[in-house]
Amino acid sequence: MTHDEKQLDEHRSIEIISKMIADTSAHIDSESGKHFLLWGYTTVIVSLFEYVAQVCHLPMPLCLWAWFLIPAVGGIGTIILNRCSTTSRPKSYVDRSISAVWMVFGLSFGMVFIAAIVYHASILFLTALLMGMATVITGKICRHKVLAWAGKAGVILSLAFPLFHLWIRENGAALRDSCGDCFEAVVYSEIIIFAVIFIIMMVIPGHILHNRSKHLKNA
Amino acid sequence: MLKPLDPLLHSELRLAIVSILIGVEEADFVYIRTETGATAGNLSVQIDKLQKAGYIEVEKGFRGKMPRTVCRITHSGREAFAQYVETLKEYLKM
Repeated sequence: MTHDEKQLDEHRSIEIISKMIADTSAHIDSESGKHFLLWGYTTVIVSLFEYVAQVCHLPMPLCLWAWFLIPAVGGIGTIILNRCSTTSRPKSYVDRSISAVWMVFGLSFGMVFIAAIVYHASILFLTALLMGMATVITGKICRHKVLAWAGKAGVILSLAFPLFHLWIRENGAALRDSCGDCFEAVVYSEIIIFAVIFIIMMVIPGHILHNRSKHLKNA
Repeated sequence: MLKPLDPLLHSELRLAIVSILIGVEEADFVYIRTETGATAGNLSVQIDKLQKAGYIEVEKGFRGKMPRTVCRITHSGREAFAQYVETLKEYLKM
């Protein structure tokens, strides 16, 4: 008797429907953490390198070009992650929505990046704000509270940049007198703020999601 | 008088296939086979029946160099599933 010919009663039908829907939902969730870890760690590592490079006065073109490692490593890593996915995971409407959100925010970031250069606006502030917003939306779509809260934290913490600039403007002269050589290290510490925001916004929820997916796979 | 359950869906494997596809945009053959635990031959036959009934659409392509068959539920498949669940509820109320 084949699988197809087995007699079904109503209760067994309900059992099959519930099981298949529940199992498929579990698989939809399973890989979300990897992308956040990739982008989060890339941003944190490049930011820390940038901070050291700026404070140690490394050659300017090298410092500036290093920022482009974030989209380069993140973009290539995302392609590799998607291709190397060993499980044939089903594609859901949630996947499509999340892809659309990040594509729109990615494009917006490109526009904002150009505008920020032209208008001399703070790229770090705008990046943290935009990525925070995209993380909140992703968290809401996936119904991951941790991700949504991490994104909200990112949006709120992005306010640290204008506040930091205000503080430097108010206390710059006094700081220069008291700190002397270490004044530049204080000024460039906004890059450290940027790295901390990405740890809170992407690295920590990325690990939580990744551990959860490992737990689900082992269950 | 209770309506009869759609015979095309009232089969363990075909119901499992449609239940998987109802919650996703698309799922590939390997995934459906793993989830249902069916043999490749039996699964192909049942997918073919659902496709002929217009409940699902099947797209054959490649992922890299590996062949890949992707299944999606159609509008009439979705309606048939909803009707099946409604009829099932009636049976369970008895």
